[in-house]
Amino acid sequence: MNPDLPPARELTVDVRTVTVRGRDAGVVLAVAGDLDFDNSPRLRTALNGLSPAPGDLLVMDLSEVTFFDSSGVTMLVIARKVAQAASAEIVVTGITPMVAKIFRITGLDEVFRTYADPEAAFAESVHN
Amino acid sequence: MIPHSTTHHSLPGLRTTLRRLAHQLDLPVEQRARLALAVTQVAAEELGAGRSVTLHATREAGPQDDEAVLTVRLRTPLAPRPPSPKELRDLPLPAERMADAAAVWRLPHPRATIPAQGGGTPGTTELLEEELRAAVARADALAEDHKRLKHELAETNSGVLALYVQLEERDEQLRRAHGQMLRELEDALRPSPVRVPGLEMAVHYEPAGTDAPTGGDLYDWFLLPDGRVHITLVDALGHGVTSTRSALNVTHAVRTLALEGHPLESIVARTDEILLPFDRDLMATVLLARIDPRGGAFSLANGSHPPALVVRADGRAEYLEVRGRGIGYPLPGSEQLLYEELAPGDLLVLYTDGLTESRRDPREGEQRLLEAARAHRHLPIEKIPGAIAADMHTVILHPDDTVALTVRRTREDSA
Repeated sequence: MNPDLPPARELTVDVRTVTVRGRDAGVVLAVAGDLDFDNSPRLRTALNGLSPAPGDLLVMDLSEVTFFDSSGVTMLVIARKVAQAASAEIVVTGITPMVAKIFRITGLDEVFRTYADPEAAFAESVHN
Repeated sequence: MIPHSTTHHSLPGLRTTLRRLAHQLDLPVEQRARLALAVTQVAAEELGAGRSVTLHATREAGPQDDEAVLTVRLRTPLAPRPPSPKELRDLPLPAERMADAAAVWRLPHPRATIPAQGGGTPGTTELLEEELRAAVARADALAEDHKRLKHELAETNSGVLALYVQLEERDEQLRRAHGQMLRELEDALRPSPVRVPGLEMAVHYEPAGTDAPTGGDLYDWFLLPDGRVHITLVDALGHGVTSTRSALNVTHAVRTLALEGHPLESIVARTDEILLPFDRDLMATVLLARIDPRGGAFSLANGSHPPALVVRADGRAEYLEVRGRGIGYPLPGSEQLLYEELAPGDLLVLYTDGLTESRRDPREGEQRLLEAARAHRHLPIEKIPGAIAADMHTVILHPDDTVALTVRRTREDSA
């Protein structure tokens, strides 16, 4: 119907535990590809598999996200609930202009602390 | 007659003897034919090898006359081996083997005395013809039966088919009644536009699919006691009737709070407070508008919903972003309100994200919506939402509800 429509990109979720000075400090979820209605269940599965400890930092790295809409917003709200239920902290890194606009419209920019990248996020959390 | 005992050296002689004997004993024709075939089959090898066989018939009376039995024995005294039990079982008239005979047939034979047949004993040809006639008659009867059964089967089949057709028709009727009911329910969920001088309103609603005639998108509009028009637009998470219930809870709570006189800026947060204890998973974006039909002043409150679009009478257009978070979102509620004004001929477009979704970029969808609204802004109001939706829906990525709602300030302010 629309030949200019770019093909949908697969969504991958890379879950990585981060240690700081020999201790588990948290988890980075690196999300890459189209975070849309069809793909969001994959992220949901990854979120359900998390078991953060109190005080852990959960980093949602969106730097490789190529598409983001209300399905992505819903997933971030769910991620925040997962973190809160475990008394963990959640931040978002690598926000693209597209994600920034959605954050502004939905008011999520007031809710999530954001950093340039996961390293910056962990650097600050260790200082605190 | 009986007891009977003859020795035979040729098949024709054995057959003739047996047939005449059976005729004299008044055996049924079919039984006679079968017996003759069976005896011939057992004796053929012996006689063919030049060895003789003997045929014996005796009648044994039972306690009752109708239990009397005619016993026919075929003895093959010179045979190297007797016939196997299987051979005997498979004969046209099955036989048993006994110690004193190769094959024994025991036939019920109630009649004690055999009267001689009138006209003397018929010849072999007559007897054979009689047997053939009986066989042909039997074959005819079976063919007739077969035809009748086939006919009955065909009738039964067509009856079953008719039943299926009837069931299918009833199914279709049910489906239609079901669809009708759902449409009525849907209409009940979606109030018709408010009629108020100074403003004209219209809405286009498209469910995600025919199997889910209502989804999580819902709107509500009504006149406030102070004369302003209140509009609620909701997009509840999820699909189908469950999300309709969530959306309905939101519109209902908002309507109650608005009519109770709660200030616009408090309604989103208050709705969250009321509803979340009942449904922790509820997530809904909301956009609230209040418009004064007398001067066109309006205010917007938002909860994570896509921004409203205003297209001025001269074609200038802009999205009106208002800060706030939706029901079930973190930190729910309005951060601030936006105050604007509709001049005569200005068009306000409220929508849900099913209208603007695009694989490229959400901004691309917004740009297309702006152009569509600008192109159709002078149409009769009831045509605008449908025309915009038709322009937007060139690409459907996944089935989602769509609402497009438009409000235009009339040019004759006094109307």
